[in-house]
Amino acid sequence: MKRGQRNKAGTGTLIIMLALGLFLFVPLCQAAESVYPNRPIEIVVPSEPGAFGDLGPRILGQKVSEILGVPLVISNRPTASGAAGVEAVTRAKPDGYTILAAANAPVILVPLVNPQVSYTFRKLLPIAVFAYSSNVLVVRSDSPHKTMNDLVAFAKKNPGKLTYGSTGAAHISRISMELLKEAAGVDIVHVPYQGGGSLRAAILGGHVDLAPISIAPVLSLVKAGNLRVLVSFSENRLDELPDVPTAKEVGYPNSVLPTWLGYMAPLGTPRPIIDKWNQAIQKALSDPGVKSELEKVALTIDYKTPEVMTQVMEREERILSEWVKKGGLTRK
Amino acid sequence: MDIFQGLIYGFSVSLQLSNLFACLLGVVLGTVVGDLPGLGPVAAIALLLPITLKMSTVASIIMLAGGFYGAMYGGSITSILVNIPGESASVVTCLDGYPMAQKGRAGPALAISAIGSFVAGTLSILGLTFLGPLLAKFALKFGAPEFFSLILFGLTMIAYLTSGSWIKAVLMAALGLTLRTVGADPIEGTPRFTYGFTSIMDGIEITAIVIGLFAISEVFFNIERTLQNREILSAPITGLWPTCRDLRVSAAPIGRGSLIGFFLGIIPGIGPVVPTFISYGVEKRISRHPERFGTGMIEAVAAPEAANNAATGGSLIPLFSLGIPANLVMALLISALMLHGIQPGPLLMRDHPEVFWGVITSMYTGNVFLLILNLPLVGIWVKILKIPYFLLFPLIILLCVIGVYSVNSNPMDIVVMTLFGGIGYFMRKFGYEAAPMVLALVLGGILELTFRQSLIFFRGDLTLFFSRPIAAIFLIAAFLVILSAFLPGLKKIRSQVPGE
Repeated sequence: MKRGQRNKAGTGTLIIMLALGLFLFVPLCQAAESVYPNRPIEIVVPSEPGAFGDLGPRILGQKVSEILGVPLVISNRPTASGAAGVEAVTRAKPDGYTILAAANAPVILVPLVNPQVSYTFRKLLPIAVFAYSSNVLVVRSDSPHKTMNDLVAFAKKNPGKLTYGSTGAAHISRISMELLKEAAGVDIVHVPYQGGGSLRAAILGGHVDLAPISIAPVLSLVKAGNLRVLVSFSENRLDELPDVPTAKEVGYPNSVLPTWLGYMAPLGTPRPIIDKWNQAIQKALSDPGVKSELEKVALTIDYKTPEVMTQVMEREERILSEWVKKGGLTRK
Repeated sequence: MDIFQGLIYGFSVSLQLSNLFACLLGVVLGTVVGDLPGLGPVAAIALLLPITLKMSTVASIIMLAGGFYGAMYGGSITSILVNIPGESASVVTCLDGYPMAQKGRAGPALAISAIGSFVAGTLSILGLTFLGPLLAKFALKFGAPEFFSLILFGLTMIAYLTSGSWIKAVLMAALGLTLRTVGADPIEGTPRFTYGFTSIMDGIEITAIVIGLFAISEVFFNIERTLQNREILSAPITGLWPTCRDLRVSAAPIGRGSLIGFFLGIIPGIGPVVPTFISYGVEKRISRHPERFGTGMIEAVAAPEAANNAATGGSLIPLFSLGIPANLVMALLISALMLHGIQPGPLLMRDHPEVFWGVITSMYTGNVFLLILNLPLVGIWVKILKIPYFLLFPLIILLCVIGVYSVNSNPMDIVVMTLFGGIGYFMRKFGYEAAPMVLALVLGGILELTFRQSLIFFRGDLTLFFSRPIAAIFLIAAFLVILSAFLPGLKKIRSQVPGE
């Protein structure tokens, strides 16, 4: 009896040791093959979970993970408007196992307006842009301003009378508005709010006259007739609102600044890894399921190669740094 | 569809087996996550969000809502047992809940907080069902000046947060406001007092400060006490259940707490912290024994817990009727709705009645689940107090480190927590209370933002605050609180002067 028990325990231990051995051995085998990727990849998202810069990479990431055959582990690093996340990736090992879910605000705007941030987009390798979301300028539906021209004419006659709310001082949508003000030569007072939610409450409650804001969360308010869109800050007219002109059409091409989402890798990441990622992204984007999932959160698929992505970032950096040099944030 | 048809339709959705299960899962996970220090409703929902990608829309929103109010309740358990507020909203629960546990009355404290949460949750769902669309319009009337005056009124509650010296309380609040100015300025984004550290650009993480001041300093303090061979629990654990007297004295506070929580919860941007502090202040103001607050009064646990949970129902009103999140948790719920292709907003009730009514009715069942789950568990929770200290203390510190790090994945937050653990220890030694500082920290940011927004609107003219009726009412109320709280103290000092 006693002997039998001891035997049983012995077999159990053996099985556990074998299992442990296998467990430890399998990853070693994979590492030896050295085919990228062979272990989970960390995706650094420089925004909060559930924020729009987080939803895009989450949706696309599911498909990319299937294609690459390894899990993508999302780590949210929202501190300092995302600067903490971007900085972490610039310092990461360039082995393809740390990838940044990039967006123009943390990568381009934040280093320009925050003297404490030392990186520029040149500290990272572009992989691809995969989608963009448009910002629009809204008024309440009972506002007397029906078109952009009405608004500019009124603002010229009444400098400092109108107010606009923003989602924060250094947000892309706010800068579109400032560039528009500059080009039109009008004085509209800026009132920053904490995020999109309180800005929507402020425009609906009539506390501010105008709001440059991301289209996704206001679309239902526009459709329900609470808000009206004057202009969209995007390259092309929006599918959902085909009657709304773009800022370019009404004469303010500089304020066209869509919020784009893409991927970037640390400097020094080998070219084959960048190419592998790029192909995986293209393949994932051709999936109809991914397209409809992205559209649900008001993201439009917009694939850009690393070369085009660099051009986009150079244009944005030029426009934004000119604006920052002229006084930018601190200018009233 | 009228309300009763809607409710019946809603129950037909929420009582489906899969949806019931989603609700149960959300509530359980929420309670567990809410238990962990530093992890509150936001963490609970962020953890549940990826799971919902594969679920039906109704089930996922039901689960997330369950995670929300489950976590709100979970936060109170550790506050009562070991003086660790899961997040800022549970700080008030520590004030009298922990003294109750020390007196051996952890059971009644936990039970009353479950009962108070249940009653308040149910009342606020009734409010949401019947008054929802009407109140959403009222919430929009709150502009920057109204916010500022309401927050200022909330800040005067420091008068009721101390059982000792009110001068010390005011000093602590001032320190809290000062600490809140660290980080980017809310208007222009200029960094202030950051000394080149990117990690404090968004300000010092309040959760880290709160956990440091309460949990870490509590551990330090208790280590000192065990070294001196003194018992931490001053009395043996007596009775797990509230007595009839407990229930009687708690009934009215639960009602008042529910009302305060519900109406303040509707206003976007207020969050659950202000209602808990205000309801504590109100109870102390009208109590016949205000001097005994802070020593383990059961009504001082019941009212803020009720306010905390009633605010949940209230905050769903702007979400469902306007698509406006009342707080960070609601912003996450909006993301979840959008992931499922639903635009939250005025058309939600028309286009997706199954979501609207399904979620509202699931909250009735969810609250029943919470009560059924938690009342029998009270006995198990209380056993935590019997864990030997040499095991309990390292465990608490480990949980705190994990919890605080998980908020932003920012290592600096652990340093902040440890630092404030030390500061909190000395504050206790010298009789400075942490609650006024936490209130000031939580309110400081929005106080500054709305004040400066108001000044932009008013072009610098301060008197214009009184031209807005709602703002004027709150300002006058704040003034009266200051008068009524501090005048008796002044009189007392004067009467002690000989010859007067």
